[in-house]
Amino acid sequence: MRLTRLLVDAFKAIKRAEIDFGPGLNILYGPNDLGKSTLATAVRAALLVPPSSAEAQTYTSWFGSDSPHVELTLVDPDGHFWRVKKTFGTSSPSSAELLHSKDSITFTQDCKARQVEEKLRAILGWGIPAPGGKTGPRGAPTSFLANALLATQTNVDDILQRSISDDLDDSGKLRLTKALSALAQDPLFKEVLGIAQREVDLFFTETGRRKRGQFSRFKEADDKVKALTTELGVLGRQLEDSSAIEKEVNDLREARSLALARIDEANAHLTVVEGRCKNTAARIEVADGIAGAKTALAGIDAEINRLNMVTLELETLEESVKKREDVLAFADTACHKAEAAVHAAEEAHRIATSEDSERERELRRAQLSERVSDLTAKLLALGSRKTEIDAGINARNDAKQAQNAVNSAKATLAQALKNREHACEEVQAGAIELEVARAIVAFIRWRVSLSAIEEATKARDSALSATTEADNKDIEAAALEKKAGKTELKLVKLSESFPSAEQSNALLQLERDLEKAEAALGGGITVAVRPSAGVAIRAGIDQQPSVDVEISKNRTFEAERTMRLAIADLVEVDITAGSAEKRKAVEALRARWRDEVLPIFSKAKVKTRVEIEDLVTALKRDQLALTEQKSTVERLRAEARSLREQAKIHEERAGAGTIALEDVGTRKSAIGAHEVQSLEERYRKAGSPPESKAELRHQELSKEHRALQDELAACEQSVTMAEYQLSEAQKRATELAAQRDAKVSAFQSMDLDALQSQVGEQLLSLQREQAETALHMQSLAAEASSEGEKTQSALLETQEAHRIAKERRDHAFATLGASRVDCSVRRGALNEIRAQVEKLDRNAAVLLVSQREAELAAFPIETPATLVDVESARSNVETANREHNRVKEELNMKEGALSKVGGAALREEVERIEEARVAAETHERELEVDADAWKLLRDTLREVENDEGAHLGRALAGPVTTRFEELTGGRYRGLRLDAALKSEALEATATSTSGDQVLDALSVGTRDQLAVLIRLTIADQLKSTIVLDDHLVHTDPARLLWFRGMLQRTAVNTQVIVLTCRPEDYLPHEGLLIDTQIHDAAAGTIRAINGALAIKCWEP
Amino acid sequence: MTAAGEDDIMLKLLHTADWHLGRLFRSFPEEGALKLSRARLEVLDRILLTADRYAVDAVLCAGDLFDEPNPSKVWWEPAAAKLRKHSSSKRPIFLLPGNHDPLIADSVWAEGHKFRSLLPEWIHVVDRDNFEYILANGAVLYAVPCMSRAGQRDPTDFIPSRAAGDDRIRIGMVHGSTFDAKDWQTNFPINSDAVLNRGLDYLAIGDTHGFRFVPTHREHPPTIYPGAPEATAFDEKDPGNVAVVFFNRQRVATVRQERVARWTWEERKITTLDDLRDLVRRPDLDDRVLRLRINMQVAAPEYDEAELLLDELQGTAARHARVGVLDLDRQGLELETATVDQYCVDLPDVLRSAVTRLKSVAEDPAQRLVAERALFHLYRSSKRRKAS
Repeated sequence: MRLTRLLVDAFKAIKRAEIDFGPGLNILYGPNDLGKSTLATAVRAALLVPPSSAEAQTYTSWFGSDSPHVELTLVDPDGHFWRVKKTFGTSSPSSAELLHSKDSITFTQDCKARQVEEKLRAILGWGIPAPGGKTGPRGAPTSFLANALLATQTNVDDILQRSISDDLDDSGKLRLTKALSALAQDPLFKEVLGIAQREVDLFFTETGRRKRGQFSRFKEADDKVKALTTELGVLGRQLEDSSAIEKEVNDLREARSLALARIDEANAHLTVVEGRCKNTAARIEVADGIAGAKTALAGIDAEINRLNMVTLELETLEESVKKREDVLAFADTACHKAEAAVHAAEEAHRIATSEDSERERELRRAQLSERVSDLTAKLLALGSRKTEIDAGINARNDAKQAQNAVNSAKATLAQALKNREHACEEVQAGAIELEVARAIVAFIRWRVSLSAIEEATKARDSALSATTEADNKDIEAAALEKKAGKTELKLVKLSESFPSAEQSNALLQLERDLEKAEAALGGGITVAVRPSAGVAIRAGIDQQPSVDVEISKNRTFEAERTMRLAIADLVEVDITAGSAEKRKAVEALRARWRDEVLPIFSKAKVKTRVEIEDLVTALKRDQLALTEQKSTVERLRAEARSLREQAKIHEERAGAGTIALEDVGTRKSAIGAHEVQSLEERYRKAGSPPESKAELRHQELSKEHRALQDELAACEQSVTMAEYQLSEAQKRATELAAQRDAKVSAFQSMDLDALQSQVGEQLLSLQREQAETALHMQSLAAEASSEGEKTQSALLETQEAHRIAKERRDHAFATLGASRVDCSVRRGALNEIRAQVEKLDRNAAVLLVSQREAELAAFPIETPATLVDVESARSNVETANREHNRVKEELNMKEGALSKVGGAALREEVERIEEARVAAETHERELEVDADAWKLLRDTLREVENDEGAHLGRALAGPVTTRFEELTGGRYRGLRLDAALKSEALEATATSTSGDQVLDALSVGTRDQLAVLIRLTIADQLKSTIVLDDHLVHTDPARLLWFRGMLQRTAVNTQVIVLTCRPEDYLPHEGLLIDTQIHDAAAGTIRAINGALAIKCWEP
Repeated sequence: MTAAGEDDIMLKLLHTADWHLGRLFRSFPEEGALKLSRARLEVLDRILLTADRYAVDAVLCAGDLFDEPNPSKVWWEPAAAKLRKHSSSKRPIFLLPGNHDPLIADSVWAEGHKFRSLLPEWIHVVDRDNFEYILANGAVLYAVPCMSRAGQRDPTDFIPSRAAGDDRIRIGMVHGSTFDAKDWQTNFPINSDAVLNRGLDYLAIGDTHGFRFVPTHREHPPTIYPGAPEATAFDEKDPGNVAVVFFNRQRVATVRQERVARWTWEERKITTLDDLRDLVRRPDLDDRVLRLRINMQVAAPEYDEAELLLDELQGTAARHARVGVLDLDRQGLELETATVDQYCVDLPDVLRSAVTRLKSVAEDPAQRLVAERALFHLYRSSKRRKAS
């Protein structure tokens, strides 16, 4: 640390002071009571004293009400400038402010108030903790180092007796340990620490940060990683573009293959659909044919059934006719017999006209006649009964047959009803399925619309994003372009002021020639000036700036090659080393330099050729940067163009969404009352088919539904027919049952068949008895010829019997005739039906049905197709063709772009650079580990050393002892300091007095000198400013002279500020004491500050 | 493969590709990277000497001869010089632009480029799609250059099919990827049946860096990748060759694989100190490009020895490296910290205290690596200083 500037206002006896310190030895001189010590106090106040502390009260101005104010500017070891401003409030509030600067010109506030002390103490590292808290110092803070570096006039014992262990924190001890570590350690430890320190120095700055400057290892490794990363970034972007194009090309190739496959597929599908459509039409035709043939066959079968029924009826009628013929034959026989009996009776009557016989015969005839009448009555009754029984049996059979027909019709109707019910169920199920299929189609279309809208939204977003990004890139490009334009203009102007390459070469050659010529001059000039009185001389040594000096006695000036002495503005003498010829050559070259080179330097506004080279290098670097900027602009513009094209594509895609948006409502309503969730589930279960497939399914179901409806209609027709037949059969059965009941009712529950047989037998028996009776009557007639009346009666009876028989025969004949007419009518009808049936070819109809059914079966099992399907398939072919053309066109475009990209070569390059980057990063990590390891080792060694602590005393005692021995001419040696730097002992040469006694026995002056040496050594080791305030007041001139040299040597590395009233003790010669506030000497390493001019102090 | 009888030989060719002149090996240390870059130039001499030795009728160089289209002069100038130097027989040499060095404006193959002017008249640059050249005994060469870094066009499509009655030896030369190669779709895809489709007796191709028959069954006339004459990466299979091709009167080509490389690329993983000692004793390391991965934990003295052996392998400022080119990953070399203090008993207390402290730091996993290294530095520095 070193101080650069101090400004003091209204501080104790000082009204105002403003001092700029030099980097080396600063001798601030002035008479007593000028305020020099107050300045030292001001420095301490600026660095250590909080403005609100009690200590600040002692700073009150002697002049008036202004608050004491101090501003101190200092530089830390890293080259950072800090300016502390403190106002110690008396009339105005206290304040503190710390400002920071990197260039000592522009300061910015770093902190203020209490933080100022905290920050300052951290920067100083003097073992003073931050104010406040338990460990914070109260009042004026102090520490071992604060005391050593800023001690007041009267504190010699504080230096010799103070212990660093008394410090409130370890920062001072650590700092000092660090600084002194190289001075006194175990040799091996020291060497290892030295190695570690050297390695650490290679890697780290003094403040412990990694060295990132030029030529540092980290920079080299980091630069390599950064360069590779940058390159990788550039190539990576190129590769992304390249890969994107390659991917697009590959995708488009695949898309083209897919499109071709889709065309083939669509064509194949079209062919299939066309075939199916043809087949469907043919099938419909065949199915219609089958229906027609079946209808015809059913008609034929109905006619045949009718024929059979009529035939059956005819057979029944014929059987009835036959029976009636038998009845007629029997009645006819009875009639003939009765007629014969009439004839016999007439004969008997004729014979029996005599009286006796007539009477006997009459009696017998009466008996027989009675018998005949009885038999006739019985016969009639039995005949009637038999007729009734026959009619009942017939009626029963007819009724039974009709009932069978009714049952058959009922069964047919039941089957038809069942068929209709089944068909109805199928139609209903089909309708539901059809509706669901329709809803799924609508659902898919709705989803497609939603997807399209979603896609469109995304596309719109993408378009917007791409447009925004493109705008940003354009803006960025424009800004960069503008910047590049300015830079280019500047570079053009700048390059115009630089020499050409040829000029540069000539310039370099001239410079080398000049250097050679000057070197050839040799060197060594000594000029002795012996003034007779004090004279002002301006001396210019070699190429150094001239220095004004006042001399009053002999003075020697020395130079290597040239010297210019101007004596009191009277004469100016140029002295040059070397022979005349060589000097001439040098002068000639210098003249050339002035004529040829300086104009170039002037034009380029530089002073040396190296500066030009640096500027040219900088110019080239700027030009490179400009080129990079331009390429960046181009890249940004290209990216923006690409983004806009992308945005256009996205917008076109988004346009499709508008149509979808219009459709979505309609499509949603087309779903109907179905729940979307349920449809979604059904859709998923169906394997998420595309719309075309779902539509196809809907059409199939629709056709199936229509077929089912047709089938239902047929079933209903069958039911109607069966109902009609049942009704007819029931009507007939009712009629016949009524007839049967009417005819059978008389027989109650008797067995008609048995009764018929019994009646038949009785009838035959009576007929036989009647015949026998008739024979008896005939024999009686023959016997009783005389018995006219009997025979007459018999005759009448036979005539009556004959009449009855005749009536029966007539009735039978009439009944037979009616039956025969009925039979004839039926037969006619039968013949008519048969003739019709014979005209019908049932086999042909059956054959036709079989043929049609075979034809139908011959059709392949496939989904039916309509012309709509064919149109749809054709549309698919056209869509596939359009898609293929689009993909092909796009592919052609992308293939063109492909030839511009990096491809596999770029990919390999990126892989290699990536590998190199990994290697570089690994190397960097290894370097970091190694650096950290060295730092850890160094820090560990120091910690160990610090903990042991013994080194500090040894480290400091060594150089102090050496200097003290030199100062005292070997009188003292072996200074011993303890671990806390407290002085323990001092050995005196040639005496056996103990070290501690020697130390106590030292004179005031020598103790003062020893204290100053310790302080200087500490400052020297810490490279930190030391303020010496009127020290060495008890030192003799010889030792003062030694100290003067010592201070000058120390000031080479460390800033030393001496406040003194005896400047001649420190300044090299009194010539430096001139009437200016500041005067620098010895190449600026010594600065004389005239306190009388710098300080305005209180005057009574 | 044995060559046909000498009397029966109608034509002899040397087929090479993928020189990649100008390639940088940036994952290697600087010196090694330079050696590997230079190796690409040095192998040209061996390729051309092989051509001399077999007295071939022509040399076919099937693309990627430079690593980029416009390489530095330091590559094309010596390349041209070497081609001139070995051209005493004036046998034709055919240089084909590949996907790394496509024939584009301002490329090294462009008409006005100085490289072209340095080539003698018997060295031909294939600079058009319909390149055709009549070789010895009427054999004909068709060659198609790459004119961009990527492309989907099969370059053999430009080679005319064999006309009826044409019984000449027909040779094709292109650069690209056969369908079994990575990224073939956009890297000038070459149909695997091109040799049959075009009626060729030999198809010379370049791109893949290993020697390879395409397809491997060898039933067709050969399609050959000769590979890079010097390897460019560790994962390349069978690099470092050229193909010498003999054609008999029946136009049957016989291919001989000839090694021309100096460098052999090898990867090793070392897990014991004995393995490392054995490796250092190997006599063949001079011509090795060795990727060495160390993965072992050793006690302090062995760690020191391992470091010395690794120094020997990779060389130091004072000592020549044993390995030609070394890519060393030593991150797996770990110090056995548990025993380190037993090797430090003869050190001063203060150093032993430091050892103890560093051991405790090494117990923190986050600090282990750094602390181990610090321990090693302490061990090595103190031992060496003590010894000296």
